[in-house]
Amino acid sequence: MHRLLIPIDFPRPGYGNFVADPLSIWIESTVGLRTEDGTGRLVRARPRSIAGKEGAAAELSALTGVTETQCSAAIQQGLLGATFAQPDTGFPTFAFRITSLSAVATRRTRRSSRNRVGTSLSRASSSSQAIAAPFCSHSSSAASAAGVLLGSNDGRCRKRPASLHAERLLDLQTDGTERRVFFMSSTDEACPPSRMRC
Amino acid sequence: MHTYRGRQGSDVAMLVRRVRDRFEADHLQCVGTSATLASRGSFEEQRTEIARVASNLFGSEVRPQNVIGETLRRATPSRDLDDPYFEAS
Repeated sequence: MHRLLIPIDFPRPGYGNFVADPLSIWIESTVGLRTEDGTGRLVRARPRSIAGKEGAAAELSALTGVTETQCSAAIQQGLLGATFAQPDTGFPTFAFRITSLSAVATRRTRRSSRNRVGTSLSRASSSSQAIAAPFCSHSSSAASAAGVLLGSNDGRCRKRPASLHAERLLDLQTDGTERRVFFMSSTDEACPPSRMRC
Repeated sequence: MHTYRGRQGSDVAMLVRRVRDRFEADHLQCVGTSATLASRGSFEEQRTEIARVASNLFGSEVRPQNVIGETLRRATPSRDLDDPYFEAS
């Protein structure tokens, strides 16, 4: 018997719905926070990957009986979708964030179609690009200061300040030719790291 | 503070000492911030390590109890994930 279900519409809109969802509880307990041995202090969980044998998706898959791919998608949706502000503090839902979420989405764009994110992305016609966006960081001010970094395989990158939220970045998945999109949440790295290949 | 490593770290460390010396400011207050310093070990171990690095950089003693960390809280309710009725509870 499986102990956890992955709702089809996860995450549902609204802070209350989100934090009450058992899957949200599982995400926060598994990749977010842990209780320190001995002191009981709430500390950040050791960063771990979503994919892979030791990844969070494999663990969720064992718990739900749902494929790892679907579990991986659900975890990513949960982390990206946790953009609600906490009612009493205004801080983002989770204190943690995805630091390098690669290949989360296949972006479809038609050359003729306009990008929803604005001119910065619609002018990028190279075969690949990296989009980096700090989000879900420690405070709401950091989240609203999120910028989008745009880069290409030649290593050049330009900073595109924009106050994009994770929700809007998810829009990137929904239109035109296939393209891998990288999300990166980093407030101290100036451009997509060289190891990132598009 | 995590950016003050190697040559740049030495630069800043020397600058702090020069300022202290020129202004004869024996009680110069140094405040360092970092979001990424020391991520291993318990919180107490991290404080000790951060205090050691800070003392080295500032040239004056920084005590572990003067290292302030973050206070986290859960957004979701706490549940025992091993409880078979975890979802229903």
